[in-house]
Amino acid sequence: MKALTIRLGQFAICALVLTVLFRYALNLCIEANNVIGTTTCSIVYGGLIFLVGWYFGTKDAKENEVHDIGFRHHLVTYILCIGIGYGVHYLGWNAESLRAMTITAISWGIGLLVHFIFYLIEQRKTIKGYAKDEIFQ
Amino acid sequence: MENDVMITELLNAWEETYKKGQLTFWVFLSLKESNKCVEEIKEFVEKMSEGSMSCEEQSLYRNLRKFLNLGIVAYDSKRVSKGPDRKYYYLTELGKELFQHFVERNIKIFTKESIINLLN
Repeated sequence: MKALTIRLGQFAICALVLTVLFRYALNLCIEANNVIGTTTCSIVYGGLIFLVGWYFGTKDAKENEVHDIGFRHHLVTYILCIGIGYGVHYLGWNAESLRAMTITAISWGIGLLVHFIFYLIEQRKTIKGYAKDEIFQ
Repeated sequence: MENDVMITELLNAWEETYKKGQLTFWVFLSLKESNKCVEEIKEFVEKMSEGSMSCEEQSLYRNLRKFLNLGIVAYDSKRVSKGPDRKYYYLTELGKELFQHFVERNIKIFTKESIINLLN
């Protein structure tokens, strides 16, 4: 299984654009003390990332027969979202507190770790990323 | 008459199950004969199986890509007068060994005289 596929790259570009837009909107809402706006931004961002990940993930699974239960997409999203968050924070453009970002990074990181464990379990059913029962048809 | 219909239906159902997994066998068999491009593999499978196996080129490409990534097959590119280079696939050492083990465990049993007698 190729870990870096074109579909994953396409997803990463979309996720990057969405994350930058999300961070920008989140900043505006936090600065305006708009709780509803902050919540809405997060839900919309999460929903859109999920849909985009689902779209490219299913295409990846079909075209490259990748069986990673979406872990690579999850990891890319985590790196982008948390990375950009800390990046803009240290550049001084982020209104989100360092504490809030760290809590998000840790709690999301735990979720990612659980996903990774399931990914490893799934990998035992595969050979080089191909599901054992689907290699020979 | 009723029996004929029943046999046809059962036979179709059995064959549908039986043929699953057979394409790999025929593809490997064709590559054991010689290096082949996808069109030649398709031709070999259909001819040698006397039409009992048919395969779409798309399905062959998908399977070959998988076998390629698993290191079971590899290919050489050859120039053709028109269009892109043509890929000629062959079994790697791993592929040859895999096929040999599969044949020994699952196919050669049918060459035993006692089994041949029963089949006849």
